[in-house]
Amino acid sequence: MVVVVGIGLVGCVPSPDRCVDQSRSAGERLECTVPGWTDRGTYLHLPDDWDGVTPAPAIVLLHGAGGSRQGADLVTCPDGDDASPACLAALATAAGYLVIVPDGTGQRPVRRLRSWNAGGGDAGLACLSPIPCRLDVDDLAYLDDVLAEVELAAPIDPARLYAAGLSNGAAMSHRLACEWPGRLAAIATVGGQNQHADAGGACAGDTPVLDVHGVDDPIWPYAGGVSEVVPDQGVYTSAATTMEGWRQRNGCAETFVEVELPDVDPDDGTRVVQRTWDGCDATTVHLAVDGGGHTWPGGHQYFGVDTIGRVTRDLGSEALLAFFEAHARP
Amino acid sequence: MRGRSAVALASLAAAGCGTLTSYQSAEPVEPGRWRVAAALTGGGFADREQASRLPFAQAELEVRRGVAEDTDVGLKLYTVGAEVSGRHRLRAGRWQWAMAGAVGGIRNRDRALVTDGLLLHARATTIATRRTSARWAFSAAPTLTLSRYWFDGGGAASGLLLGATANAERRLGARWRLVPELGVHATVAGEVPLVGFVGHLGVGVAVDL
Repeated sequence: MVVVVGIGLVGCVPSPDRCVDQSRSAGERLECTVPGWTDRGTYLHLPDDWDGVTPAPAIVLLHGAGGSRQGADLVTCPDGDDASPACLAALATAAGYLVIVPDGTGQRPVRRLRSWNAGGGDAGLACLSPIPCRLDVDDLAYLDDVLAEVELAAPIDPARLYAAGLSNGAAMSHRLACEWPGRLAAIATVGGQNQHADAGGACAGDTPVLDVHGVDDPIWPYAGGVSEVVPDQGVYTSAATTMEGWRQRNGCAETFVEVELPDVDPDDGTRVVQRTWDGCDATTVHLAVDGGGHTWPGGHQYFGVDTIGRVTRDLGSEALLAFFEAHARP
Repeated sequence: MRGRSAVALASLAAAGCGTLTSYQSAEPVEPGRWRVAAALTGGGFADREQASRLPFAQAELEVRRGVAEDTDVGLKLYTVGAEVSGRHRLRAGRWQWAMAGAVGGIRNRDRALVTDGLLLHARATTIATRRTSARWAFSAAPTLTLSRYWFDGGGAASGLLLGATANAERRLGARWRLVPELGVHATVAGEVPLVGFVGHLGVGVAVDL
């Protein structure tokens, strides 16, 4: 019996594939491994009109702490429905983008509670998230390897590489913009700020930034400080500090234009106020979601309102995509 | 969120570890007889390197059959995996000694919190049992557990746990037994299921058929 069970189980041993070793066709989602990195798979969504040859714009979509590549996709989808055409991946692939959704470092023993080393750990700010920080995981090198691996399978337009993420994934996107000067065409961040730079980390700037943050975010407080939901994570930087940093690094004036966006869904309990700084070398925009929580615009209410706050329905992933569409590296 | 997450994690965390429980003594099931047992176990993981802690809960159902004098085999189904085992008594009497071995595994796929992959383990145990009366027996079992996790996301990792379980067996009538147990295991090499400690406390019930 032991032998039979043993053979049966060994027959289940996964034989993971690199993207380049898989058959690829337009509109598919591949699950790929990244050589040299253990248990850190990546989704690669191929554009609906992908021809396999023409370099395509690409979005690196980063999950939040405790998330995974599966969660990163779902959190952008209304009602968590991954078949919805309003998911970021669906919208982006329809518009010709590659969407790359990698895994962060997993918490043992379950390993699907993942997070990024988004930096920090100085100036009174926590290093986020604690586990990859403690292990000193080089997520810049990892994401570099992810992109190199994707490039082998699906050419990326080097002038149109973008990063986006929620929470810890947003903080990692800020860090990428800081530490990959001239490489990202823009970032779109939701519910997470530039912990790396605000703690004194090097940050090059000159990257267009669209930053979205719920004013009533109970997890990453809009005004910074200690989270009421996860106080053991330490001190978070504020939206104001991060945006002031980007204003300066992106060469903006101190003045800005502030407009209240249309209340598309009057029942969602949120209003979005857009602040666009004047005279920037790189576009710098902040969307403050009054009444909004730690949620993706137009996305999934993945926990109750009492825990993560509200999802705004006044805008969605199409707003982030429009920002990317408007920005390319020369 | 913390309370809800803790419950969800506790029920799933065992899927990242396998089973480390015993609820056995050195006394095998008599040849030709069956024993059915069930147990509920709670515990925690503490990863030294990641400085993270996670609770777990596990339910299990086991069937054992005596296959020869002093030897039995068993099949255990636990929360999300399966294990087969064998036990052979080396010495009978007031002090009893047995050797036991087990192999088991979990195929994790599409579990919300647990990474996809195949987790296999093999365990070797020496069980010492002291029967103090017709009703009571006490057992201690040093255990070595080797685990290997093949990840769908690429690569594999291994780990070796050294630990022990201790339990008390209280007979309830001629056929029933109640077995409370505790166990502690520490990683001595590798990182599966973690780099640190696993502790458990539980209670089992067995009936001879």
